[in-house]
Amino acid sequence: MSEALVTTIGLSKVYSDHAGGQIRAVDSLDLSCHAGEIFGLLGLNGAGKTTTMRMLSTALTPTAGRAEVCGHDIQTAAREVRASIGFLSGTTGLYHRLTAREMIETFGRLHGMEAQHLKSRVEEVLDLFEIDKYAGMRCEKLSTGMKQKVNIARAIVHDPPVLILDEPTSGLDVLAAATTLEFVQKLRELGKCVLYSTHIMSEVERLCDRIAIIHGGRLRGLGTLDELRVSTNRHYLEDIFRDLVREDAA
Amino acid sequence: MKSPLGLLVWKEATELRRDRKVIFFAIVMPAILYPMLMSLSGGLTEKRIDELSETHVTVGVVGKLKSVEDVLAELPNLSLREYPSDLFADSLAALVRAAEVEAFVDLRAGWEAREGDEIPQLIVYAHRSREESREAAERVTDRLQELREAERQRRWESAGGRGRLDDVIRETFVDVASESASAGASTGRMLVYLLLFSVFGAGSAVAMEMIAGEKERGTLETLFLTPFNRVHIARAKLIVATASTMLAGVLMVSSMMLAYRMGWISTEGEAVNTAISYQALLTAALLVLPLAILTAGMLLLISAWVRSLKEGQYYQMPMMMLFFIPAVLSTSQVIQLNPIVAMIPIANVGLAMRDVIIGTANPGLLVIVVVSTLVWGALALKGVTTLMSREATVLGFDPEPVFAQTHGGRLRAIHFSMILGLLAFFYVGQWMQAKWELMGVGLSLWILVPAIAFGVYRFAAGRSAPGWTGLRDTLSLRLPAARWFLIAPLFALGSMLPIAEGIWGLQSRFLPAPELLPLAGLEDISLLTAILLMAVTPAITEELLYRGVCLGLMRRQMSAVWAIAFSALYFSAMHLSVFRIAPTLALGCLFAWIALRSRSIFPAMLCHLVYNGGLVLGGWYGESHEFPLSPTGPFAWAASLAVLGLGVVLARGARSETGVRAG
Amino acid sequence: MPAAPSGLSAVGLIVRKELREALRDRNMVIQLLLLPIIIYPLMGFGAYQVYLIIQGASQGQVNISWIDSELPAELRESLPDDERHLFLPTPPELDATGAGADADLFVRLRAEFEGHGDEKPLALLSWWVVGDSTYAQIHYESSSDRSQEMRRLFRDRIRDHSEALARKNAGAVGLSEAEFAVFELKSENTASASQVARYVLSIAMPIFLMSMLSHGTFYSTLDTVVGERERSTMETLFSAPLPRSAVLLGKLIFVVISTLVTFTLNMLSLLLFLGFALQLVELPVEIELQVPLVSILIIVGAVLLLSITLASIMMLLALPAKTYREGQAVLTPVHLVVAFSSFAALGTGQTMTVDQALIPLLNVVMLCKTVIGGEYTWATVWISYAVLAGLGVISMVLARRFVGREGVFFDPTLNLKRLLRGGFRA
Repeated sequence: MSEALVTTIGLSKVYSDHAGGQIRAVDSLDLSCHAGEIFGLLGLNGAGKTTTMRMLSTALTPTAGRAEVCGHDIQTAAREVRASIGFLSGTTGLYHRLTAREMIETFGRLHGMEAQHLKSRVEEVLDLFEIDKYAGMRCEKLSTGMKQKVNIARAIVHDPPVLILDEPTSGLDVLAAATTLEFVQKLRELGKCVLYSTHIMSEVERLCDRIAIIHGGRLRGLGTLDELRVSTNRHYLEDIFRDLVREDAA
Repeated sequence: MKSPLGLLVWKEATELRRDRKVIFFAIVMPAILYPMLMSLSGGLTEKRIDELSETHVTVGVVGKLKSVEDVLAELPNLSLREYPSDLFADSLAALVRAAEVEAFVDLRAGWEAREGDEIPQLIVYAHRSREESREAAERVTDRLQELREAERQRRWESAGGRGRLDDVIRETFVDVASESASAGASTGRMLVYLLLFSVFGAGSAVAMEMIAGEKERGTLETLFLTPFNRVHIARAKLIVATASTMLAGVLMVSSMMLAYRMGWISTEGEAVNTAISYQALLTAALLVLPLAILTAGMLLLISAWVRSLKEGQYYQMPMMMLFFIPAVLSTSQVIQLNPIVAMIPIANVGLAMRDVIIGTANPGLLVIVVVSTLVWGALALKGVTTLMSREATVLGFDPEPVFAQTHGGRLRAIHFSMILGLLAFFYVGQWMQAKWELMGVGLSLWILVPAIAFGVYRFAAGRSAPGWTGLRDTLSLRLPAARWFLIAPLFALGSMLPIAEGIWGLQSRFLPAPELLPLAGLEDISLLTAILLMAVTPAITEELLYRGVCLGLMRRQMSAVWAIAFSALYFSAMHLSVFRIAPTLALGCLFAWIALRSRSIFPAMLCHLVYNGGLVLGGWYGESHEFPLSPTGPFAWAASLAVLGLGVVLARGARSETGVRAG
Repeated sequence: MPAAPSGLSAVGLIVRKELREALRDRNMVIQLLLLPIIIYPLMGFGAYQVYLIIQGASQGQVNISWIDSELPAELRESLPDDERHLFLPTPPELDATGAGADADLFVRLRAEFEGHGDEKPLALLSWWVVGDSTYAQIHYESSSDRSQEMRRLFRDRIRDHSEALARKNAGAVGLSEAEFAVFELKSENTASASQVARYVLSIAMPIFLMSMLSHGTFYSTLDTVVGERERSTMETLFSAPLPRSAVLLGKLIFVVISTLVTFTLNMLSLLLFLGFALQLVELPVEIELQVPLVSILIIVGAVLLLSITLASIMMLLALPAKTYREGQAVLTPVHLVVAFSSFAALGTGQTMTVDQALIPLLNVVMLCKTVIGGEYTWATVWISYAVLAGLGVISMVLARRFVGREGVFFDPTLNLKRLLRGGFRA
């Protein structure tokens, strides 16, 4: 396997609640992801997936543990980390008043791309995601599916080695979701390291090379689908998930 | 089961009372902010006046008039500084200008009794743009006047006069106004003024939230999916908006009265008479109800029209003007309430409230005010219900580009360019007229108006549908049927009296125009110049813009009636006078109808020329001659109506264009 | 991989992005560019029409008054003889006859008066002589402006007549005109037309300045901070490899630019309109407005610093707001405080003290007032600048610290109170 581009060691995030107690959103997470791999983070709502993604994208600071992205520590080299990733989540919107092309160009510039290179790169991603037809339309006029494509294009325009995708199909219709999944697969073919979080089993089954099952902030299972099948003696991912999660409850 | 209206009202009220912005505008501002601001501004002004009266000032003096100097020197917080008597007047002024002294008194003329009637002149120099200087001059002047009176009395007594020389006539004043009426006159002005603004402010905050805010939050659609019908929903919103607006109004009045009574607001150190009767206050408070209904209705109408809160905000500014003008008018007692004024929305309530607070309100007129305001409010509510039923309003479709190649886009382009043109005429045209007078009038009409017409055409026509027929067709630059060269002047002659006397006369009953409207530089012009400038020029240039470009473009986007109405509205707005709105609106409609009916702009031009020319000629003739018959008497009216009737008959036989619309 | 932009280039990218977005937002263009241009002509036009309406209404009115038959001829002739005034003989019932007219009777007779449309007598001037003493009594109604006008007219005419009588009496005992007059008192104004104009402007300008500045900052702050959050682009932006301080600075520069543009348009529109209005209306005094360039530059400097400070403070307060509405609710009191701070100009003198220079907002108001009026010292100017700059820096530092907090963007329960309670740590 190629070198790990993302590693976490004992990564934790603890919040204080109003009553003075503690909420362990992420608890001692150890995982690693490699180039040319789609690494799935599977868990229910509130499991800790988004918190993990946000820590890796340097939006949040870990309470304990450490993590590295492309060899940069997320706490001491945050800018270098952000320069190495493309981030996409359900809450990363588009600038309504910019056109699709302008949106991608702006973020290319924000990632330090030179003008000449940026121009050709923008055309490349427009073509790749088949959004050249409406590149001149303002983002507010685009349908949900088109917006998502633009969002993904925005996330990869600077050709980052690591993509962090936090529930990228949430709110999309069937066709738009399918298109998104196709593009995610393309990203793997391009040799990217893709961290993909979701609560939809079918997406994980279809896309992910390795899967980490998170529940209550803790890692419940890690491995390829086959490895998980062997370890739990179950075939379907849904059953595997229920077993691993139930163990914790028990 | 609870009444639907009750449930909806409860829901609206619950949402609103948890909205910080609404609480601020409906409660905090009226109850606290306005009295605080009034108190602050009054207090600060008073403080400044007190400070100035305590300020030590230095006054320069020339001339040996010891008695005067001694007296001046006795003034508290004032010291005198003597200067050599050979200083010129310019030097004295320079010393004051340079703030060496705050004021200067030139006593060199003295005041000893002298032969003849030469009266000595004492001069006080002050720098009017400096407060301390004005204060010093005022103190010195007051004291000198006292000295003069005392010296005069002394001379009178020395000459053998008995008693007080200045006590020739003993004057007394008897105020027959009741205390409450007097209080109403002094405090009522500000009260009504602030009341209108606080009602508007609260209404805006509330109304915008109720519909535009719900659209933004996506809850309007949810509400419409309930079993309640739209009328109930609109009524519930109106009830809650009215209640909030009324609360703001009542709070404002109560807090202002409390502030006045507690002495927190004073007028230049004097106690303010706040003995307004409770009856007057109660009646005024009741008048707030119809005002609140109307205000809430109007603002809900805007709220239903716009797509977002932000968009609603920029409609609020022009709306505020509708409150600003009546608010200012109600501070003056000059405008009287009469049956016609009693029907003009907002202004009627402002004036009625003023009269109620003073105690001069006519009950019959109050009834008209209340009923007419309620009628306007009901119309607004109807408008709200209609707007709320539109799909676009409910589902919040994304707006098309402002000037898209659609019907709506083209209409907006026309209106936008016409409004820009009006602005350009206001700024540039009025400036030209003010700067170059006669020449300026000519330039503004011959250059500016055609330029505006060209600009409007280029901007608006360029967005037309394919198959646009071009400038000539838009302007209707074609010869009409020959009979129109007779019909047009007939209409012009026949409508002169109905418009100039009829409409103007009717308008004067509630909007009397001042005798002389300022028209600098146009007082002494020859008849020929007057005809060229006031008849020929507008007939060509204004017709090109309003009946040519404006009407021509609008006719292709809307029905004839609306096209006539809008073009006439712009035509009347261009005259930039509230007094001319009604007459020029009527004229604009007439010219537009002729243009459409004849399918040509030339009859409209001719009508305009004859109308204006007739007025100019009539005015010129009337200045130096006597008319054989009264130009406004029954014979003249009969003749006018006959001529008008003839024009109508002839026009009926002519071919009509009004039913035709371009593709 | 490309090197992430830093420093000024990062800031520049943000500013460019913000400007581009703002210029495409219809609401922003209307609020910040269009409204300033049309508001003054609209309001001025409205005010002028109101003035004409009042003038028109008053021209049609006739001020009727009752005057005593015993009134001396000279006094009678001094009363105005025009269409606006009508003086009728007092009804016999109201004849003063040595004791003055009965007030209630006056009110009753007045109400019963007919013969002139709806007009009623506004005042009654009674006149009688007892021995050597002459008495004048004026009945009027203080709640009526027109009645007050008649009272003032009668009072002034009576005083003029009294003066004339005194002169005559003085002459009778041998005093000459000059002896009687004693002296004439003349006032000379040493201020030029320009100085008078500057004085008037120094009172009015702070009011416009503060509200214009605040208006521009208010809307652009809401759009760039709260609007970003509402559109869910804040997280997108912060996922880029830019320092948060660069993002904040870029937004601040955008807000300052918008504020200054709106302010300039407002000012130009106001001055253009005022200049035009002064040409139309005849004033009782000559007005000539010339403000020295130095004064203008000082005010521009103060405006710039205040806009930076205001922008920082408003951005700081708007950070926790999650919706445009919430942001408006938070910023509206600030907007009003700034706009109404100009009232301070009413209670202060024409020179600025050092104490005043130390108080933010008041220092800008006073700077504007004193600089336009021409009575300022450089010490107060620099102190004001320093205070504003200091406040702006503190606000920006605080905003930077708050922006660095995680909860600012991800904690839906975070509000301003909790943010401040959390202290000033990043």
